Amino acid sequence: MEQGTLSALLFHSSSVAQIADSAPTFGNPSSIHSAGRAAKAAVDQARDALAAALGLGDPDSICFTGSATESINTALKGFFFYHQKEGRKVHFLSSVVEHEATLESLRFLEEMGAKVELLPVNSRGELSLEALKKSLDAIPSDAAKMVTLLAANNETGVVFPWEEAARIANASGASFHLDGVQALGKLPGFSLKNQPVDFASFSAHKMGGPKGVGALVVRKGAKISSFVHGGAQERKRRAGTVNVAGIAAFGAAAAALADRDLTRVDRMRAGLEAQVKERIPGAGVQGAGAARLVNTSNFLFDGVRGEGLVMGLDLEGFAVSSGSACNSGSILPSHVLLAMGLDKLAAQSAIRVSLSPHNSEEELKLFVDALERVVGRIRSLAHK
Amino acid sequence: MARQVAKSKGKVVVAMSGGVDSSVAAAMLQLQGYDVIGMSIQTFDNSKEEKERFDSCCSISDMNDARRVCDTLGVPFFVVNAVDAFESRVINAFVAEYLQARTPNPCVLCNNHIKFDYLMERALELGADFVATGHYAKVQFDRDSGRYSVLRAVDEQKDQSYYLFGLTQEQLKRTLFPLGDLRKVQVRKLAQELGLIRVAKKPDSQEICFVGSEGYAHFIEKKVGPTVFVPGVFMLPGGETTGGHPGVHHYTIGQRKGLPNEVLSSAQKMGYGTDLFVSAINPDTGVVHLAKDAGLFKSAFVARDFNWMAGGDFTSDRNVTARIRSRHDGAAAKARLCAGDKVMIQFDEPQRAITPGQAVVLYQDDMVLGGGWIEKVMEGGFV
Repeated sequence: MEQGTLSALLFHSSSVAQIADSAPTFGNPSSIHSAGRAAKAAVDQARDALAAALGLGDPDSICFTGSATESINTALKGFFFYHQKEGRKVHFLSSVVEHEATLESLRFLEEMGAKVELLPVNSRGELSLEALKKSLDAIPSDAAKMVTLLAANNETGVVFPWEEAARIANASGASFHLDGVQALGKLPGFSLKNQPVDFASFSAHKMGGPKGVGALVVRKGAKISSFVHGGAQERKRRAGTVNVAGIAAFGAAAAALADRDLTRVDRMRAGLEAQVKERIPGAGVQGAGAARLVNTSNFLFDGVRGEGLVMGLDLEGFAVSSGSACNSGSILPSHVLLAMGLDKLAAQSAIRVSLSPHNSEEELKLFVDALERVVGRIRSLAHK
Repeated sequence: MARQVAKSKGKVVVAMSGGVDSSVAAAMLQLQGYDVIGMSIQTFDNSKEEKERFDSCCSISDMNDARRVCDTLGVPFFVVNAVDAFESRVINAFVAEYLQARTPNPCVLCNNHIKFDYLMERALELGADFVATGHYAKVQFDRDSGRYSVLRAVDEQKDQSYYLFGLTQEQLKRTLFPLGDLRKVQVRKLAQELGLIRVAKKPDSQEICFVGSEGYAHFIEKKVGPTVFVPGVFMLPGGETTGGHPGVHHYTIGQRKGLPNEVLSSAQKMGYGTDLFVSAINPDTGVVHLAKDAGLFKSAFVARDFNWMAGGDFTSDRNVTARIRSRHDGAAAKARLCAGDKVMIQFDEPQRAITPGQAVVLYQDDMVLGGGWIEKVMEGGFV
């Protein structure tokens, strides 16, 4: 029944897994002895590799964390607490389609006294830079300001003009945090080189590495309070013994990005969307007119709930996702699609298909066959 | 622990609560040669209320138990979102009934509208042939009538046939109840033997799952706000009025606890004693009638929205056994068809606290003939 798998989770290559296995995990990288030094060297090597993949001249600006969610929390809350301690009012400017890690951190900070403004998106999921500029100008000049934005949306793949946004923020004296989780390894030419980005968050498992490792870039001189206290690890930015095996594998995955053929993924994705539209009536792609990541398609099929599609495709051997899963695992309407103007039912109906560089044309064909079957079955029941 | 299956008897979606019954049902069907898919139904937005709800039916920890059982069996498991359907078809109906001075049974509604209507739709979308649950009941096909019907379970203490009267023929055709021939003690023992240790000793779920510790009246007030309630007075057996109450939703037929002290003391002064029960409620005037225990016994009533599971094409009065609440043993009665899916029912002997809003289910021996909702108690009888 296993016919093939389409999933962003399956970027893994055997070499990454091997590195996690063979990483010197006995020693504590904070220890003086040779086993500790070996572990420290593995972490430093990974830091260099990730810095190279991100176009960063200074590897020490990378702080390893337990997840991108932790990185985002650290950047936002650390910024708030640093400036609150200095006695300043703190303003955040973000968008309505951010990941929950950002939105819920901002909700929390609002309760703590921060001012938060979320910019809307249009029906293609795009952000207006004019609106960003206008909102920045309206913030009192004595306040500490942070703009935090996605590089690309995790549900639709729609890319934000983050480089221009960073420049606009920089020009108005605001700090800029980039949620770069989806961009690394999926957005051609993505690099932080020469970009006025103060903070940026990344996740290993979204680009071929293991789960449970993230990174926070803190540009030299950028000010945040430490979020986890209790040790000098990661330059006191994140206390606690680091995950040596996970970080080593993160580094290996970062080093492997240079060989990734995104043009091929882009071509496959275009082929997939064309096939789906040709073979399945009433199929639409959300954010189709906008700049998007090469591997993500957000499909909507008239009158078909995403829940049934995801379950049906799983039984056919394909892993796709829908909306945002709640803590029980059931599907809630997507806040991203609601923000793009879809109604509640439609926002609960879309599925997100993510391609891996390891997928083949043959797998795509099998996938569209299965999709046609499942959509057809659900529609035939609805008409009874 | 995936088990080898020679030839599949078909694909079955098992409605799983995370309890011992549905877990054993899933394991049994797998052993019998079905392709099993586990499915739990989410009825609340847990993200909003997780502080209040941890251990009643359908909570997150229960879903995790269901997930773990499916993992042990090596079968797929999904959670489907029925939050909107549960709100509109179960909770809103529950609240509306109380405001009409009736006493609803939301578990029957949930069985009909969520476990069967909603879950079966999802199951068919997955290409399933059957839906199974851990109910203690049996399904039988009668060749003569060409109809399916529900039978009482072997374990009469656990029998849940009462809750299933609303199932349609189309639904029954695709329904499996693997536990109908087992007793609860056997099911718990089977759970141990099948390695389902996590759920083998879980206690049975009891209370209405969505109401919470503050009680149903508080739940209703939170849901609709304070303005819609009809306050009123109490009426003693001789017609005297006394005391007052903030709304009829606080009372149910047969209730004795929670009557105001002032009402009881004035009842005592007037010579009625304090042994009084709610015997009738008028939703328009807000009058709550009190009576001695003997005054609670009535014979006849009208039921609405009746589903004749075993077929309803008879003309003369039919002899049946009628159960007027889930904890009622059933008593001999006669049923007469009326226009518009209504049925008049008269017991041979008067029964205590016939309560509008509750479900009445009619049996012939062990077979469910059909059921509906008690609309109105009649004074006297029709036979």
